Amino acid sequence: MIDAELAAFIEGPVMIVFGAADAAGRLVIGRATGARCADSGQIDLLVSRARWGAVTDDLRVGAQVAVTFSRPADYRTFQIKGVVTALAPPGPSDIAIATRYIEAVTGSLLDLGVLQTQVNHWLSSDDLITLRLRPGAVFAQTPGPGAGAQLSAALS
Amino acid sequence: MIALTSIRDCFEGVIPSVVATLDAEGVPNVSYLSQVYLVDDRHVALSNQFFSKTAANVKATGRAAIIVVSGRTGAQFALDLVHEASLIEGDLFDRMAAQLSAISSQQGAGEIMCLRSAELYRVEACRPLAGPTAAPLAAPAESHPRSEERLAQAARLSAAIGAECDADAMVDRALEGLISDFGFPSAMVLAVDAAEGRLTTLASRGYPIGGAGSEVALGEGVIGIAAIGRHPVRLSDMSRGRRMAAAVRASARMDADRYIPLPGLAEPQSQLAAPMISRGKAYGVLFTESPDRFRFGPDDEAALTLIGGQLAACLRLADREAGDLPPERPGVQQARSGAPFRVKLFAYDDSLFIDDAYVIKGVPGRLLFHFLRLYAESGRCDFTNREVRLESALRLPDLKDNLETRLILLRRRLEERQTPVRLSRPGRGQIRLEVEGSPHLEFIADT
Repeated sequence: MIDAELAAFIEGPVMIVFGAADAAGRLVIGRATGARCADSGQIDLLVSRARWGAVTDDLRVGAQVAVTFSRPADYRTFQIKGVVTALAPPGPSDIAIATRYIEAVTGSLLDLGVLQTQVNHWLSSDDLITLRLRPGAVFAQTPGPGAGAQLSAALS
Repeated sequence: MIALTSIRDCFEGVIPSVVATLDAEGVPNVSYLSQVYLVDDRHVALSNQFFSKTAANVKATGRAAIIVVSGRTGAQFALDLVHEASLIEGDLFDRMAAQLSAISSQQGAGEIMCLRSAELYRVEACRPLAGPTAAPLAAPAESHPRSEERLAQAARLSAAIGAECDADAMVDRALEGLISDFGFPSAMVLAVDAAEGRLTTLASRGYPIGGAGSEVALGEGVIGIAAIGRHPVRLSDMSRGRRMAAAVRASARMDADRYIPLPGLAEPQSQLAAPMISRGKAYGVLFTESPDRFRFGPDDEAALTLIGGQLAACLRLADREAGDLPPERPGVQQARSGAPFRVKLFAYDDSLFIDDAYVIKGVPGRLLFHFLRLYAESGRCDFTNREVRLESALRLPDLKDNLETRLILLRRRLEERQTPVRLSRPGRGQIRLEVEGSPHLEFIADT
């Protein structure tokens, strides 16, 4: 479902937001600080609990999640929908991924005229948690008439 | 709950907002919104242009969650929304449509972003999200004067414009007031020419060039969109996306010999355009811009709209009065010595050239050629608004409402170009031609 090109996009300098219904059925939104496409076909999102603790603390394994990956320079966007399979402390490489991600995204946002003080509100690697999800469907979401087209779905 | 009006910076369309919804089965959807519109302290509106999944989910569940971001500081706020209404017309819809066109034209998205509906939501909760611990407490850096101060300034300027009898003086008074009373860094008055599909600059302040006669197409940039939508348009951060001035320059290159550059900043960050509405029609546009982000607030927008309405009404009235005055005995000028000069009028766009240098096009071009022809035939140099309006040979479209603005434009353009022919206004409803040298007229018919 996630081909090499999409995997490179997801792991690149793109803004990552996710939406989910928490344990109480409330709609919540958070930002991730980097992503990894694991060999298992699952996707790991790195999320700062310092910023988004109110969101991640109420998420449970089995919750449905939608994640949007969007490149700031051209608004190229994909949305992946899936299910949370694990919420775990960050692995050894996760912190490095988050650090690299913040560096790369900050660079491309500053190039677009966004201020460092603004970026500081959105991106943080403090107190990371890894949100693992199994993707179920991928949608092209770049703004325009083609937005929302489904690219692929998991066989079930 | 945080009062929405205290986080106005989040509703300026600078940083994209995020919206999440659930479908009937509880599957979430998350996407970006170019702008969330502040309606009042308990309501916001979302533009529905192409995020169809969000619209479908809201229809099913009636709920949405959004994150809005301050364009100034980057601070984030989470809002829980309950859907109230789907609007396809009305004031809120028109405002959002105008603002959406301005943002998409500024960001180069073109006609893709067209508003299908304005979705009105009640805000159930508004929570600040955690930010960097080192960040200073969110103290809104409010550089705009308080509303009551702006309102008092607008009242004073409105009265000052209303005190003028002469159309030229009204335009000057408005521009001076916007600079010295309002403290705007620049100001421009443009008149709508609906028949030609464009706006033409009458005068400006705060720029190195006056730019009388420069043009903007209706619907182009914040000026053209404010005119066509008849609503004010405000941009607060233009760092991303192409600049309007650059677009105007590019589109004008095709007829470079008939082109006057629009006075404008090379790198504006904030722009504000307010239509000059009178009797339901956009008569012109008042415009200001700044190299600073967030230079203009909602109070500036409201104040400029008030001044625009007052200027439109006063100019129209001046036009009516000037046209009703009885004609005076035409004055005759003694043929003066001086170098001969050539005047050419091209029929296809009424563009007028003096000694091969472009002066003006459209109705003002036709007017000047008409005056010069009568001058060449009889030495006559005094004319009246009334006779011009009655002159069928001029093919003047609904001039009863805007002859004065054309004359203001023509007079200022001739002055800026330092041409050997000038216009002066010896009295209300009177037009005097001042000619230095002897004109040789040539009419170039359509080929």
